[in-house]
Amino acid sequence: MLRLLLGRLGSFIVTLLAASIIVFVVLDILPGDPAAILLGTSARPDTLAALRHQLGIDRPLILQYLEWIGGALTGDLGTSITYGVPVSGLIADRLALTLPLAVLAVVISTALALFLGVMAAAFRDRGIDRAVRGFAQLGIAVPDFWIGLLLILLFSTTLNWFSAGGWSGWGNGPGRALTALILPAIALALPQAGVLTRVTRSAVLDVLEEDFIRTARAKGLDRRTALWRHALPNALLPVITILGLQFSFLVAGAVLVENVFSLPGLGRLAYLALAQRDLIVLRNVVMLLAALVILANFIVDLLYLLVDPRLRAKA
Amino acid sequence: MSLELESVFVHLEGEPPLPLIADMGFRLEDGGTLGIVGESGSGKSLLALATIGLLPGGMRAAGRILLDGRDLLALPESELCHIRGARIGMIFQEPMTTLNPVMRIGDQIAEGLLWHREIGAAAARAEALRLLDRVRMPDAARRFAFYPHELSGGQRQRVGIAIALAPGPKLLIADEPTTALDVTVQSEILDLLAELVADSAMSLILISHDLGIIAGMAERTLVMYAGTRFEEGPTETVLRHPLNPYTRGLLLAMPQRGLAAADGPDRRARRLASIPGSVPQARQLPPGCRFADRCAMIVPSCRPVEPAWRELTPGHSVRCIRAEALL
Amino acid sequence: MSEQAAAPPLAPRAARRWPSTLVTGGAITGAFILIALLSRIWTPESPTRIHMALRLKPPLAAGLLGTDPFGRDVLSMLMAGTWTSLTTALLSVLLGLLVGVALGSCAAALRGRFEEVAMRGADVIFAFPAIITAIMVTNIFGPGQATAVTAIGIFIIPVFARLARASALQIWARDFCLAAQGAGKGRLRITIEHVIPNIAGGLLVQATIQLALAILIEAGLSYLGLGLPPPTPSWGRMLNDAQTFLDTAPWLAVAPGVAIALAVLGFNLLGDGLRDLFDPRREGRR
Repeated sequence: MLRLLLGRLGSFIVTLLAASIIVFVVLDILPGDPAAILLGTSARPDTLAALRHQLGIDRPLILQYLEWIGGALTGDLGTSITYGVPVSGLIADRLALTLPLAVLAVVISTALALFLGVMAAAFRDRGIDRAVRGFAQLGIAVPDFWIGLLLILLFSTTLNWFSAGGWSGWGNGPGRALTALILPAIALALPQAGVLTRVTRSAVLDVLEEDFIRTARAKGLDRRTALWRHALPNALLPVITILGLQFSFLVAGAVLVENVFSLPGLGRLAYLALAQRDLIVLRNVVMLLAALVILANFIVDLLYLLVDPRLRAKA
Repeated sequence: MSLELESVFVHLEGEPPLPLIADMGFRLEDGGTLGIVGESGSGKSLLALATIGLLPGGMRAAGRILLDGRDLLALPESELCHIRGARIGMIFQEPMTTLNPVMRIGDQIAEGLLWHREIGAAAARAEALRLLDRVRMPDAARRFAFYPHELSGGQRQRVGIAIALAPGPKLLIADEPTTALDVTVQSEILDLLAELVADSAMSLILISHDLGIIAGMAERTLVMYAGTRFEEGPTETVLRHPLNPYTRGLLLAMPQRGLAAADGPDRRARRLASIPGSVPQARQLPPGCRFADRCAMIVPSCRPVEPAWRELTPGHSVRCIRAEALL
Repeated sequence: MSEQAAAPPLAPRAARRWPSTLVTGGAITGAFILIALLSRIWTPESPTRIHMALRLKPPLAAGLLGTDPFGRDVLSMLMAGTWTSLTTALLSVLLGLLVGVALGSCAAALRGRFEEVAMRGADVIFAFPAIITAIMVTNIFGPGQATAVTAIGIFIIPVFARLARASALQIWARDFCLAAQGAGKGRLRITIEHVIPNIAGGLLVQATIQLALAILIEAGLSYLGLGLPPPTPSWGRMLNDAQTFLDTAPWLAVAPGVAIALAVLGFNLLGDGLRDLFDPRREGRR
């Protein structure tokens, strides 16, 4: 089991490194001379040289890359060109918004999907099933940022229940912070719920045909108990798989939704950094977002081991 | 405890409905053991499922299945949940797939206890452990917390037996309990079953395609073919003096001495003799006797109408118009 | 169970009937394709001409669906936006499909080191959501259709790579492939002559579903301004414009979203329908 975990950990680290190389290449090598980009090509050569030296880009690329990675491990991510503050602090603030947002969205979508998926499977081909499948299809088709817009329209503009954005941080009471996150989380969660519902339903239907369900019924268990106690735990594996794969879309959605709700999260930071050509911030934020996706998949791998005891035995 | 089936039919819904079991019936008294014998496709497993009300979707049962006088086919699902497990226990064929892979076996045994009786979790676990030991699981205390994939086929089948026994049913239905097991393990499991049944004075319905197994365990034997009953009587009689050509064919096809082939008119048939042809599909049943196409003793009047079920000698019934020739 | 011989056949179904999802999906996507083509030669008004006097008119006051903050006719913009969305989606999926299938089928044909590296590479690519890739690529090339197509296309590659590899491996295991190999046919020829035609059906189904996804992603990109720049109309950017005027002109936020959702729904249904067509046993299972 330990060997298994170490193997997964190794895989995780390799993927992270590969991603960091890609980020570095695409953002730092390909675009050309950042100094010229920042100051314009008509700037004087010695000004350009000075800026290059200040940014540290007149040194060998390998060195720059290693410095970046080394700095990341110690918490020093450089200084923002635009804001002049340490990037790590900037990111930490933003992370404190994006991470809870993502977690909230995952919790909402999973709870909704498991419930609806099991219901649809239990009442297969009847009214409930059709309604759930229709809802799932709709959920998948609707853009999350549009849902955000509609939610703002409904709850803010029309009903005035929530404020349409703005973030007071966790320091001013977690209740207020959560209220700010609820609408964006719902917007993020609905398309995810659509995908997960279909997967859950399909997985549960598959499991219901297995022999051990019949054993459970032969014991005297009624349909409902057999469904929730025996079928669902066995259906979780495909659901967890899809959940991991969906994280990529969750991060993308977060970028969009944060912009819709004007929330100062990582997504919005990425967007702003691009607009302001703040390459140092951009490099780190992009890497972090990719790292979150890779981390999510790693956690999913670990969850497998928790959910299916058969996998723990394999070397 | 008495179980009586009267004119039980099972069909698959559709246009037109497909008959799967026709005119089945038998009577099982307290403590009796009945062996149901038949090839694949004879409907014997479906009959078991019909009895406990777990037919697959789209299949419907008609007739009467009386457990202590109550018709199970007329009971609502909520009532059946009290009967399944607590009054009738069932053991299935494939130990590899009949256990929940993500649940510890101890919990699976205890579940039946917790469901049917008002006992606490600790008491249920203690009882489940006792049962696991009772089914001769080696090192039961340690294996109690195991998952199914950590056990061998024979061990899983022991767990299946423990699960069936846990709520204390008076009737046990074992559907091909040893077919999927290694030969060496088969006799162990059968011995275990025989012992448990005798100890608790349970009634047993043993379903198998293997005449040898039936011969060793059942007091009475019922032979099924293509969805209906062909012969029923005391096991000794059915196997030594079968009254149905099909039963006789089955016995002749057995690679064993000392059974019916030793007596009766075909002494010389010590070679394996197989029945020509194959079991007809449910949609393609021939008119008249279902076995007519393959029967060595066929006469013209076998064809037009299916023979009726009749008691030829006391306690021994048969569905065949040529049965007298075999008396 | 031991009752295999008498196992009941599947309940009778009307044979050769088109799946309802296929019909509905086909109708919706067909309508969108027609609208896209139509928009190239005619729209009720010009989708790009600014008309400040007519700005922010509600539906039916000026044009069937009203006007945007610059006085442009919303309906015409929607129609023109259809062309934007569909062409971007199509090009992205083509990119992803060609590269992905090439990668996947080579991985299946060559196995070993190449397969490992290729599939690992696919996994790493998948860690970058299309929007992030778009941000990175925009940093180099600036916004535009090429950027959008590249970003979305790259994101789609892993899906096709994995699918092509998995399907191709099944084909390679089949007898006629082994026979062809035994007869001395090169792996490339076998891949082209035998493997690709046999996996084409599954690829088509996935391509349709990825088209739906590409439309969705493109909308997100143009919402952020990473897609085609103005004045080319695009659904996503229409939603961005609408956001500023949510209190005064709420109808602007509705129509483009409905268009996106409908287009995505149509392609999803079409994909499901194709899947049911190729594998009718799965109908009712999705």
